[in-house]
Amino acid sequence: MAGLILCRTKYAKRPYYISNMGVNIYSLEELCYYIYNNIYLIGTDLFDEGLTDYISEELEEKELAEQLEFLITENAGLSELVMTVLRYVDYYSEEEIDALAGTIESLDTQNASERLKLRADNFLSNKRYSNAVHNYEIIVYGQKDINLSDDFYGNVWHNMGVAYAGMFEFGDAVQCFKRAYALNNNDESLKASFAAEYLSGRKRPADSEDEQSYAAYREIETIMDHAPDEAGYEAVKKAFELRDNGQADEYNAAVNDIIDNWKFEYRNYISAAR
Amino acid sequence: MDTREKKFYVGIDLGEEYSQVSYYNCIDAEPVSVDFGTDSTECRVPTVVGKTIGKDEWFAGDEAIHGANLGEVIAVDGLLKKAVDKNPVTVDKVSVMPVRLIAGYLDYLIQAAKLAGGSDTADRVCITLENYNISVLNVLLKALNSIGYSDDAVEFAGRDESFIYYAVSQKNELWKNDVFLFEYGNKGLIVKRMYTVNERGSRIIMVHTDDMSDEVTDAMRRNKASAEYLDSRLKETAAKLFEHHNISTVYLTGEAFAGEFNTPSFIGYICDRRRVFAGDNLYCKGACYQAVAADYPLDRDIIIACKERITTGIEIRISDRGRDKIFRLVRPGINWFGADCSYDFILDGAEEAELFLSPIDAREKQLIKISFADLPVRPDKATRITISFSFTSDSRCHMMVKDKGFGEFYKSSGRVINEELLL
Repeated sequence: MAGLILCRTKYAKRPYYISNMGVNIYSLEELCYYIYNNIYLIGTDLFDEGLTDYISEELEEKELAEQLEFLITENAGLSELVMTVLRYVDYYSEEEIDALAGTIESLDTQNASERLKLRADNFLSNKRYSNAVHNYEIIVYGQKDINLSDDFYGNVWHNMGVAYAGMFEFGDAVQCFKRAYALNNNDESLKASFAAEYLSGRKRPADSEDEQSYAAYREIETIMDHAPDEAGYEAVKKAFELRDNGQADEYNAAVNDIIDNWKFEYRNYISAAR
Repeated sequence: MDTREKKFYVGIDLGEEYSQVSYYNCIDAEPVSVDFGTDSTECRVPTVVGKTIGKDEWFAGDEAIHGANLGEVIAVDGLLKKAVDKNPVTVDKVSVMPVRLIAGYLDYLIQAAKLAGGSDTADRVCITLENYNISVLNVLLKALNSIGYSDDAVEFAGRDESFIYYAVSQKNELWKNDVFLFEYGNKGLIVKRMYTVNERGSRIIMVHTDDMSDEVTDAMRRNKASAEYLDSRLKETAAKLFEHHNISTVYLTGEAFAGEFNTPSFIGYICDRRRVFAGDNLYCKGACYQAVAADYPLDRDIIIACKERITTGIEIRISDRGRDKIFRLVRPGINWFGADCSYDFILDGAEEAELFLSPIDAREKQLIKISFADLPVRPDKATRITISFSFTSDSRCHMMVKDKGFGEFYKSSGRVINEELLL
């Protein structure tokens, strides 16, 4: 197989911002890539006037823009909108597009809460914590679906706890994990609640009352002790080396880079979808 | 309505010593040479510019020479050579870049064509020149850009190309068989033969050149006493070169054939069952025809394959909606200057590019593999590359593969793979 796909459409100078993921796209290929890899995240709301204008004006693909505009007016479903874009661009093969159509179809067979959880889980795995929390909240504070088990709702609370923890909001995370454990009776949720409690500063190992919480605290401490060996700590170590070598300017620049990076990441964690 | 009727085309034969200019419009429907003389026969104009001493006043051509003869103007010649040297030229204590001098001279020629043809604008300009190399061409392009002609409005041609365009723009019967061009000037006699080869449904037009300057020298035509000898030498040369060829037309050009020339046996021989034309503006008019052809191309089956043209196409194997397909990147038969191009691709498991060098004649295609091993490893479909080709001659091409990343999903590594292709 050749393995080289000719790009037949324009690469734009000005990007289109997809706020769900906080990502800019510059071409139809990138739009296809985003859709394909985030199918649980996207809804029909992705296909709005802003996107069709961009496709028409910036990417100069008026035919596709018109097709989408028509589908939007007709209140077409997600599958139809997605297939229209993917089939327009020579990027995914027919087999890949068919497989995605199957996925979208299966999404349609799930009930609203299940679909919403998949969407929220996708936000979570992409570290879009605020968006994840927002979607989990719709499930747990919305009308309860009697067809779904306590395990399901427990897992939603658990994942919401993970999202809060990701935003360093450990107090809220503790509450989520506790509610999760009450529903799913899963040790993971209990352990997570201990961890969040510890990280929130509310409890210390010395305060621990039972063996289970004691073991959880020890585990957290072990992880913290080994933090300097983690890949994410590499940049910090390098900065310290610069400081120790007396390279003040380089040290300051490195620290600024690290902080800028953390700020950028944190903004993404907490930025909300449209 | 044929928009050709509204357009105005200019052809320039740019020589080191003399140049010519012609125009094409709907009224004449064929190139018309611009006359710079008083006797309506002088189409040549010196390739010279000049500046009035002590004033910011510039002239070109005969006016510059005339002013210089009066001692009022400082004339500058050798413009093409100076342009390639790229060093500033000092004229009357003023330092000027050669490209500006060339621009002024070209503007003078184009204005003369517009005036003669009654047009306010020139839609396209084609320049033909003997010394067809990238240094000269880049300077000329820059000069034309500076006087308002974009890259799209400019064509360049070598002498062989202009000969072909002139010949194939005549009635079909005049180039049904081979066409000869005898060019006899201060370099001696040069003979060109234009011939057509039918290959894979295309008519491939080529030019073979015989340098006969040792047999028929410049000195011979200057020596009036040996006119008879020259006549016999020319006839012998023609007889030798015509052997085994069916010939439709013979063109005579160059100073030796301008005006009256006394070579009766040569003329008698070449006129036997052939059409013969003499004139000094074939290249200039050929350039004008080429300017027109940029908008109104020759028949699609015609491929021009002279030395300024790329005679080997470049193709690549691509995946088209999951199916393998050969895609042509560079079309054979186009002028190498201006053939530069680039295409974007997405890597979908490709570890190398498979290029095919495809000659226009019957030779086999040549497969060349360009490895992508130096590009960063990413998931399939998440690397965009630009493959670009830039030509420095008809047979030499620089290929560059550049990693563009994949938007904000994968940042570009900036890595580049370079490859020289010999076509």
